[in-house]
Amino acid sequence: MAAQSNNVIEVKNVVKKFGDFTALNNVSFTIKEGELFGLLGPNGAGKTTMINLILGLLKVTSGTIIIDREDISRNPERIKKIIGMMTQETVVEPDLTAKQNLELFARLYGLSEAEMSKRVSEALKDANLEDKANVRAGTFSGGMQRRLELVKSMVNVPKILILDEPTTGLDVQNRVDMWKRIRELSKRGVTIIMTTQYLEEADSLCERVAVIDHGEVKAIGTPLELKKQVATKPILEIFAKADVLDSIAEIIRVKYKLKPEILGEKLLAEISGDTASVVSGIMKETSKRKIEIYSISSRLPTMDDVFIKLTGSSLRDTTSGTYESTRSKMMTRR
Amino acid sequence: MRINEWKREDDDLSIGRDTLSLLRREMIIYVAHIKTNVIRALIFPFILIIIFSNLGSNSAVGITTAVVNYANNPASASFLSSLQSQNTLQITSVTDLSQAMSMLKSGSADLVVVILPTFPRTDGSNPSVQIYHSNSNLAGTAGGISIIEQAAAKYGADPSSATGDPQAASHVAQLVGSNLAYGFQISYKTFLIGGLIAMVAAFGAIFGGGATLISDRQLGNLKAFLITPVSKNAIILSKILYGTIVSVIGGMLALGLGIAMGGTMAMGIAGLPYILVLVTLISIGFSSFTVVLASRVKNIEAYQIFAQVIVMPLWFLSGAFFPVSSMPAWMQPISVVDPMTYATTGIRYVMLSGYYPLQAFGTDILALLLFFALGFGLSFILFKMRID
Repeated sequence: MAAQSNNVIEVKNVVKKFGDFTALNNVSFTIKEGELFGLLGPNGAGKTTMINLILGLLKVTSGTIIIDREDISRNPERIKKIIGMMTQETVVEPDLTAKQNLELFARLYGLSEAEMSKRVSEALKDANLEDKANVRAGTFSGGMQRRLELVKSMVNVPKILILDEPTTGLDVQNRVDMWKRIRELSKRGVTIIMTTQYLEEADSLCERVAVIDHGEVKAIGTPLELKKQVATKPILEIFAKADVLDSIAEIIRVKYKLKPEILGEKLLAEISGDTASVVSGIMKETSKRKIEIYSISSRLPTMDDVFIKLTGSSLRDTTSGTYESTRSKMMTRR
Repeated sequence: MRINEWKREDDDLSIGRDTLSLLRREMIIYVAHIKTNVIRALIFPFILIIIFSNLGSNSAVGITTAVVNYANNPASASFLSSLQSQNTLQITSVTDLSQAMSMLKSGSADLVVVILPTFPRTDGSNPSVQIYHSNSNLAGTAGGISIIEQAAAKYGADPSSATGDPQAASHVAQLVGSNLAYGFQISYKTFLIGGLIAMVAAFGAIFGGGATLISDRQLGNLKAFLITPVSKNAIILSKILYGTIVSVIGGMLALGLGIAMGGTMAMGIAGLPYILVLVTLISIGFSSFTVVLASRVKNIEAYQIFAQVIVMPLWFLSGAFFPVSSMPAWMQPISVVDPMTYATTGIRYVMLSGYYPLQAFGTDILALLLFFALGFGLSFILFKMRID
């Protein structure tokens, strides 16, 4: 008998191959009960494959996944009952009312009629959609649909909730609302795994984050730990024309003994010493020498810095979303 | 992406319950788009009935006619040559009646004209020209008969005016052949409608069963279902049942449209249960096959091409448009293994003949049950659950 742990998900040396292509290569991580865990990585990194494995939609090539202290292959039905999932594509049925949408899934989870009606009315309340219960979901705004989708994924009261890019495509207001809802669920003790393409979202929401690239876990830890891996000190950031950045770099190197890096029209350097005096000193020096700069600032390292360092690319650049022809969607409409 | 198929220990109850839940969803969506669905079921038969229902009413071409001349007098020779001058008739002279009749039965002749020794005299109720016909050239037979009658009339031997009684014509033009489903006095409109009902059912299955599986896959619904503990079999079953319901509704709508447009139902309202059974069986079969097909092709375009390539020939070869007996000999065996033939034939017994012999009914139902069992069985074996 293994030592009792409060790990609700344990992924051990998981390898997943599709033919010759290795989608996941020896991936291991654990998620504790009640944790809000972020899965980050560029498109094609293996996030979706990882999630499909956890959901039991795919089978590992090798390695093990233990969910709720049980190997996933042993009792998939029980595992499915304790996992909820909100997929990236909002799949509320436009032709079904909010209530019908929820009832369908409540039934598929095998809830009794009494239980179902209780859960459905709770869910409608949670989503602030009580007055829209009998309105077709297709008439809802994007934010409303996503709210419905979130409570739909919770209709079986899962122990584990997987959110695949929960805020993609939402406006700022709805995104903030969604964050609030995710935090509330997390507070209730639900273990949440989320993927996101917004790094600031991962930073502010997730308790722990795994960065996946090319099917491998590049780093894992709290956002703060990851940022500390990149830089422990504040980062100086100067924007100016590329041809003057060299002379600014020279000043920084000589006068403040920093190690500047130039990326196009941006200069980055880790600040040692007093941040305020460094920034104001550089401002004085540049204005004395009549060097024009657009902006100068100091900031703490962000998840973006982490991401660029670990994967060599900015996340946003690589997330273009999968293309699906709207025409073929239309053709299949009933 | 082929998804992992877990073995699930199901109790039958949960499969049934899941199937009903999924089917309920399909039906809500069907009702939400009821206008589109009804129009889709009816537009094709509507156009076909308008265009084709009068087919053959005034254009008969190349009706093979075997002539037996027992008179061998100048009048009969002249009558014969007047028939030969008709472009619509293709005359073959044969020496005796039995040879002519065997041609009729084998389908190498559509009509047999017998010139009796008494020609051109018409003796009381015995006309001196007799016409026999089969059902093989459906569009042309009636036109051919009227041409022969007109030609005979010039010699005072019009078979239909033999006794001055217009009813006599039907005694003269006799149907020879065993298949009464395509009787002489049939309307091609009703004949066509029978075929169209089977067609609408088959096409309903394409749109209902398989196509919705593909759209569910593309829109992510299928994945959403598979995340729940729902069994794969419930998903297959719900799709097959939905396709069947759509097809049966479509078939019944087509029947209603056909009647409204002038089709007739020889058996009357009593024929409805027969048609319902025939259409249901063919629909389950086709739905099963389209669901398997949809589970194995990636996009809707490929699916539609495959489905049509399969269904179209089956439809044409079933005798939906024209009697199987008028098809080239090498095609006819294909129609024997074409399940749609049995549905079409059965519907025609009900609509055209008004009498559905037990043996024919048994054959049709058996063939359709076989098709249903094959499709239904294979759909659970060959189904591939994929989510992308």
